[in-house]
Amino acid sequence: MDRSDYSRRGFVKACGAAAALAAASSGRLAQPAFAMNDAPRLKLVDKAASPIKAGALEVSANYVFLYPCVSTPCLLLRLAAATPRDVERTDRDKTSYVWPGGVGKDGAVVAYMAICAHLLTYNSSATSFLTYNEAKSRVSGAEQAITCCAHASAFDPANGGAVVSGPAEFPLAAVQLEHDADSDELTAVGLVGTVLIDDFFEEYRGKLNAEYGRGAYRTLLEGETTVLPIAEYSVQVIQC
Amino acid sequence: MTSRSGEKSKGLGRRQFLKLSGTSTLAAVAAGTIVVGAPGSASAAISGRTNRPADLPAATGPRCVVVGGGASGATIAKYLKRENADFDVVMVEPLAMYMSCFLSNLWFDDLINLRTLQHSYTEAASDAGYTWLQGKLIDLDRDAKRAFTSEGYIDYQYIVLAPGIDYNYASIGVTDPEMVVAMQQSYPAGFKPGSEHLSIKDKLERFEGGVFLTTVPVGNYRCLPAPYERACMIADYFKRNNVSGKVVLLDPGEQPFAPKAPGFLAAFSELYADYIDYHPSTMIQSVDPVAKTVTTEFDTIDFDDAAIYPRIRAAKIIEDLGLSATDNPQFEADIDVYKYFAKGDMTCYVAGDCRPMPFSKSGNTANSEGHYIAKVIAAVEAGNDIEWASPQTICYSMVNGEPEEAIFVKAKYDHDGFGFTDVELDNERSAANGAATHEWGAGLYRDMF
Repeated sequence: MDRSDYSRRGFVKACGAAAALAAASSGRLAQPAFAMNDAPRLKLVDKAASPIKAGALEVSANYVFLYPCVSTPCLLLRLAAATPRDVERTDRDKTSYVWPGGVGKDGAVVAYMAICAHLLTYNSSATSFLTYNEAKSRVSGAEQAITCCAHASAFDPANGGAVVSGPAEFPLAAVQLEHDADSDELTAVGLVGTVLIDDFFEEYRGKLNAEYGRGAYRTLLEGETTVLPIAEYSVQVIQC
Repeated sequence: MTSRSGEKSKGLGRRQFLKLSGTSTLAAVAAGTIVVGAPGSASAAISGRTNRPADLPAATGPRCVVVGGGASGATIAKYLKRENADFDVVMVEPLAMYMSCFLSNLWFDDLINLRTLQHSYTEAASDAGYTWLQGKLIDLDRDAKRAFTSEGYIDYQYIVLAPGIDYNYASIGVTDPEMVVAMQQSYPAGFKPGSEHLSIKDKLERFEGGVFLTTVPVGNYRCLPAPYERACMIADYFKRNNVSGKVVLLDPGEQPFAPKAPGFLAAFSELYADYIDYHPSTMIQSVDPVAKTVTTEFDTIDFDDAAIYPRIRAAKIIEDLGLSATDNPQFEADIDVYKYFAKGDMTCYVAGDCRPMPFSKSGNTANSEGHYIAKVIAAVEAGNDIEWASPQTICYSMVNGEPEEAIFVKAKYDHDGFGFTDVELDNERSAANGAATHEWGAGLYRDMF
C-alpha cells in the first residue's frame, strides 16, 4: 500500500515521550513508558478520507488503522454482539485498569494494538500475524479470539483483550474509541493497558528506520487515520 | 600451482589429519582430567590465567554466573536482570557470536539467510545489562562458590550451568578416537551450531547425486522433530536444484516424532516420494566414515555424503563436575526436577539440555524454562517460594519450501509425570504455518537478546 495514505498530514511531534531518551540511550533499560497524555485524537476515515461509520463495518471482519504513530498498527473489529462495559483488567505490572468496552450503536466496535503482548509480533505492511477469527484457531484452540500466529497466544476482543490462551501473560493494549451517536463516526482518543510502543520501537528500530526513514517511525499522526480492510493493509494475512 | 598444492593438501590430509587430530584429542582429554578431576586440589595444579580473578568490575549486587549463551543461558542471563535489577549477572560463553540451531534447517533450503541465525552477544549483554565474559568454564568449587574459567575465576552467589550438549558416538558404534574425530569433522551432526552447520550447507552445495544419509538418535535428543524437518528441507533443496539425490533417513523409532508423525509422513509421501527414503525401526550398529558405510541390524548402506546425528549427552563438563545423575544414560544433571538446583545446593542450577526431565530439548522449551529459572533464583534470593510453571513447547516444522508450508504443535507438561498436556496440533501443512515459522523464530530471538 501507499505509505502516503498515512503520512500526508503534518507531523512534528514524536511518538512517545521516550523518543529523545531512547535515541540518546544505547540500552533498553530504564526508559519511561509511552506518555499517555500525548495521545492524539484521530478521526477514523476511509481511503477517500471520508469518516467511516461504525454501522457500516462488516461484522467480524479485520480492519487495520495506524494509531497513534505512523508505524503502530491497530486492529478494528465490529463484533457480533455488545461487549461488557467498564471491564477491569490487569497490566504487565499487575496494576489494574478499566477497559471501557465496545462502542457504536450495537456496543460492539472495539480496537486493539496489533502488537502482540507476548513477543511483539505485529501486523506490518508485509505480513499480518494477529487476526480475529470467529472459528476455532488451529494453533491456539480459541474461538472468537484474536490469535497471534507466531506463538499461538489468543486474546478475547470482547473482554478487554484478555488472554484466553498463552504464552502471553497480559492483555493486548486497547484503543479507546469515541463514537458520535448522531454521525455514527469513530475517533481514536487514547490507549489503555500495557502500551508496548517503546518496546516495539526499541526492538525494531533498525527495521523501522529502513522502512520509514531514520527516526520517522516515531512521528505521531494528527487529525485522522485511515482504516483499511486487513487484506489491503498487508500483502500477506496469516490466519491460524 | 595453486590447484596442485590444494589437491595435495586435500589428498594427503585425510589420514595424516585423522592421526594428528586424534592425538591432540587424547592430549586434551588427558589435560582435562588434571584440570577437572577433583575440585579444590585441581585448581592448585593450574597456573596462569585460570587461577587469577577474571577481569571483571567488582560485583554491584548478588553475582549470578550463567555458563552458556544458548537459548537457555541467554534467556536466563537477561531475565535474571529483569527479575532482580540488583543481580550482577555474568554470562560465560566461549563462542564469539550466537548462532541458532532452531530455524537452521530453513537455511539449508535457502529459505532464510545465515544472518537470520546469528546474533551478537555484545549487543545482547549491553541491552539487557549483564556482562559477557568470552570464556569457558573449566572447574567449579561449589563450597567456595568460585567458578574457574579460561579467563580467570569468578566468585558467585548463584551459578547456572547451561553448557548444552556433546555427542555420544559410542551410541552408534564408533569408539575409536580416530574414527570419532572423522565422524565429527567429516559427517557432523549439525545440532551444535557454527562450523557443523556451515559444513552441512557446503556439503549440500557440492552434492552431485547419490545417497545423503541423515539419522535420528535414540533417547531424548535435541529438537525431536528436527531430523524429519531436515530430511524435508534437504529433499526440497534437491528437488528445486535438480539434484538426483536421495535423503536416506534412518530412524530407530517406528514413526516420526509422535505428535507430528502424520504431518511428516504426508510430506514424505506427497512431496518427496522420489527424494526421501525413510527407514523406521532401524537401529544403527556402526558407521565407517572412511568406507562411507553405515551398518544397521538389517543391512549395510553406502552413502555418498552424510550428516550423522548420534545420541546426545549433557555437555561433558556436567559429568566432570560430578553433577551427572548416576543412572542417567545421557549424563544429565541430578537436580530438583521442579526447581532445577543441584540436589542440596540452592546456589547451583542446571538448565537447558543438561536437565534430566523429559521435556522437549528445544530452543523454545529452554527459553520458557529460562524465564521460570530466573524467577526461581530471584525468589530464592528474596526468601520466597514460587509455584512450579510448566515449560511451554511451541514448535513449527517447515516441510515444504515452495510454497513454504509448515506443521505445528504446542504443548505444556503435567506436574506429575511430565507428560504432555494442553496439546494443540496442526498436522495439515499450510502456508499460514510456513509464514508463522519465521516469526516464531524471530520472536524467540527478540526474547533471548
